[in-house]
Amino acid sequence: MIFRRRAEPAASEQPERAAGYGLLASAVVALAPLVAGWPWWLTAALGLLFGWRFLMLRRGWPAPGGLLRVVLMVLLVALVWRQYGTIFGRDAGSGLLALMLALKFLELRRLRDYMIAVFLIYFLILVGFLYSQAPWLVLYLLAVFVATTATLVRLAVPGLRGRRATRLALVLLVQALPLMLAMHLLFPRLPGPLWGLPQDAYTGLTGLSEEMQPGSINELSQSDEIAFRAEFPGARPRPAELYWRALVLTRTDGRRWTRAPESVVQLRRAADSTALLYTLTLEPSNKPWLPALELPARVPAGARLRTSFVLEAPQPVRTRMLIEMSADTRHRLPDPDPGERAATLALPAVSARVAALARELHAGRSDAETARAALGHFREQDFYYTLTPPLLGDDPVDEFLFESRRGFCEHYAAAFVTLMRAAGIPARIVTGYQGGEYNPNGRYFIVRQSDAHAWAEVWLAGRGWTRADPTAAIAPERIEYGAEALRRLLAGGTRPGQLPAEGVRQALALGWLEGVQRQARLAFDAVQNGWQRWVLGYDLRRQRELLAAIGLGGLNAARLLGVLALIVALLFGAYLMVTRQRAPRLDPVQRAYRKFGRRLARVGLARAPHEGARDYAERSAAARPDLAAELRAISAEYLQLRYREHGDAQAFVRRVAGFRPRRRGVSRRRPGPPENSRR
Amino acid sequence: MTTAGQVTIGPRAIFILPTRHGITFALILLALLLAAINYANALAYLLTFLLAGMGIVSLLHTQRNLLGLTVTVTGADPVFAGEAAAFHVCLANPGRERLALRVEAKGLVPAHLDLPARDTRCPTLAVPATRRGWLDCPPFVLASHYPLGITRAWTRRVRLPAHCLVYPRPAAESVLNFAEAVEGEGTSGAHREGEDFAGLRTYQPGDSPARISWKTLARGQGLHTKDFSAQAAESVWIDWEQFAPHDTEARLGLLTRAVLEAEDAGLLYGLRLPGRTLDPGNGAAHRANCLEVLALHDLPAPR
Repeated sequence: MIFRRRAEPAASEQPERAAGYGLLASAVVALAPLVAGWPWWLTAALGLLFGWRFLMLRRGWPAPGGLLRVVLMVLLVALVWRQYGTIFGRDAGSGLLALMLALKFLELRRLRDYMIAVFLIYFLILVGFLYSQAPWLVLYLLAVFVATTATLVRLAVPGLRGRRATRLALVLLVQALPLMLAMHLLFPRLPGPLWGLPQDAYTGLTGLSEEMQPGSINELSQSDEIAFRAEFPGARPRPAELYWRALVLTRTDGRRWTRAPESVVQLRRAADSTALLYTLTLEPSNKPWLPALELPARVPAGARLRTSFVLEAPQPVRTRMLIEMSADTRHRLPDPDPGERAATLALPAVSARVAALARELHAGRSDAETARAALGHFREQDFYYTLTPPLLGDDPVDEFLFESRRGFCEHYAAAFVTLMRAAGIPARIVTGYQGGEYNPNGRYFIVRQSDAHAWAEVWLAGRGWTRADPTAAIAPERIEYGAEALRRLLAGGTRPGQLPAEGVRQALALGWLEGVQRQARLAFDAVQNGWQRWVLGYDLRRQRELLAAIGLGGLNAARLLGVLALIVALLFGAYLMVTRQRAPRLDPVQRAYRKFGRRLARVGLARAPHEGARDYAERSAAARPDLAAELRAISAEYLQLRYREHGDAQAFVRRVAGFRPRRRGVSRRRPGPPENSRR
Repeated sequence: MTTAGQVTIGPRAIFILPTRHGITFALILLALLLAAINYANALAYLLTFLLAGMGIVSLLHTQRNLLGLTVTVTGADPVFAGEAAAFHVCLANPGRERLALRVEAKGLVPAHLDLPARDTRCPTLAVPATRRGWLDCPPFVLASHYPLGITRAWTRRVRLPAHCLVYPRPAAESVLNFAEAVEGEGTSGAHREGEDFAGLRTYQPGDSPARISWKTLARGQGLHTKDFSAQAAESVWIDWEQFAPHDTEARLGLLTRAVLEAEDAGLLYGLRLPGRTLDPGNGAAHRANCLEVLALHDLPAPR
């Protein structure tokens, strides 16, 4: 016999055109969310390549030749290289992947090419998640996922089209959900990335700067980006109490304020029942600082506490983090040692005017009174709070105090600390966030980048480090009502600190539409917060907690994988059971008739597959005259029920149940083999 | 479960392995997992696990696509060596719709089919017939890449008793000159001398156009065929000994050719083989008998 091997793909190996359109559509929708981050030429190249593919499908355009494809490939890789300086990492990698997919589309011939294209689309869906994990994007990409899977189904099963392919894709998806959940919860998480991530993974992350230079920028960031959310399960603090401490800036050259090296300290007092407990959901900032409500009463696992009571994560925060925190207002910062004291007094040469003002404020007053007097100076003199202050020159503090007198928190904090140090009082700048928007839907505060704040701390004998916020003196609305309210007051032409409380409330009252908008925004944010807490925030630590809660704590990764495999196998077995029970869907009459056949087979009278009920009964009756009457009666009744659909099904079932033929001798007759070949 | 002539696909008769695409799929899953781990991205993990779950679930669907089918084979019509025997593989579906089934036999182009719920379909398995004699239906498997193309389920080999009779391959060129065998006659199938006109009978499909009575048709009396009595006609003998110089297979090919030509010519022909003689006759049944004798000449009886 000659065995012919298939050289060319058989007809079945070449997918139909409809699947071609489906695949193209899947690719385009999967790429859509990524377009915003790409340079124009990349989008244009993709548009051209996909357009060509479309015309290949629509108008029968020829596929570009192999040489052209290679040239295009080399050219596009070179362009990506030129754009990003690499071909790896999230940005360059996703661009390259999209181009590869588009090029693959020009050489779709065999089923294999189509399958690879589908798999690449799955990868691009994942890339979409690396850019954003917003719930609406997830819904969108889920729809893309279903459409892509429907295309895959269509490729594998040419007999399934359109809606039926989508339905099968959905069935598979729904059935895979329990398995997904098991794998998600139990697959061992790693503490860090497998290899160093290229820096572009974190571009676009905003966080607090490590230094401060008042007067160097003339517009404060008004980014609405969320820095973190803080959920208070118990009583909620007043906004004015919400000082989120992130960094302490001690060193200065008169213009720039930077951190001083600090050692790690231990908390002397353990958290007690009076501590305020809250959960921080920190957005990635690519910075290690963990903003903590003053003052931290517990150091979260893995974090470090510095001398100035700022909390620091071991690595920059690059993924959303959930941290259980506690704060205690009765805590006291440790007193400075001599070195620290010297550092918090150090001041480069200040102008004569500044030195004179410091002397004047300090004259005849205690340190505490001096601080109060300095705050009073800001309030009583002609100082303005503005978000758009003029730029300052070489001696910004002097210029601010005596000339411009316009600034925001940084200017006031820097000027205040300079005055204190000039008067011989240890002082330093604290930066972080202040306030936040309360969301009653989830009982948490939303703190945005625009809530960033700088204030001061002075060391007073007998009281230790004490917070002094000059902004609160000049613009109390900033602290009472928050940064957003202050912005609106300023936009409305109100000068902060001048209106009575009633007037401020009136000025801040929201119109009806604004109120609804705000409610909607908060409700939406609550959804997002839940999503982040319960879905996105699942990491190594959460996994450990969960495992400990279900009694699997202390399992190493290999064991955990074993447990996971077991659970997956059990789920699979359960599915198998369910489907097996469902497989033979016989009505009671048919089941009873089968039983009848089985009982007869036991006495050597098996029914041949081709044999009808009547023939079977006659043949059996001939073989067993003793049973003939019963055999004929049962099959007559069966035929009645089955084909005429009248009679008593229950009685039939009972009759069969009572039919128990006995074996008689060795009369083992089997039906002859069916005639199914011509000889 | 096997009874004579039919096989029902039980769960133990089904094997499942990933296809080539399935291996690519697994590699992609690995890449997705690495990306998820490296970027510690919960949604990337979820996507990876969802796809992995779907891969696992598809095993089940693949298996269920074959489970419970009942297979029978009906024998194929006789063919000449060099042609393809068309075995009809009948699949009876007791349950829900089965899609993208393939009937595969080693070295053969697989037959594809979709099987509606509670229905039976009989795709053709074309088996090249290379040698005369009985051709057994080759063992085949049912296979399917349903539903995602990444898994392939196939059954244990199905070996069912079905046979196809393969006639010898007719020799390429005509070797027998019937003009010699029957005096003064060509192979036109028309009325020959030596045959007596025996009357008209109603035309039946298959009758040679040369014998249609055009006169009666022209008279509007319908199609009739002129019947000739062959009794008086001299019969031809197609004789093994005529082709003495050739070897057995070549001789059989020549004899086959002769039978076909004689039948086409409308002659009465008899066949003489060592140990077997078929008296002269004519018609489809006679032709089939002759060809069967030629096909089975000197072969052991089928199993």
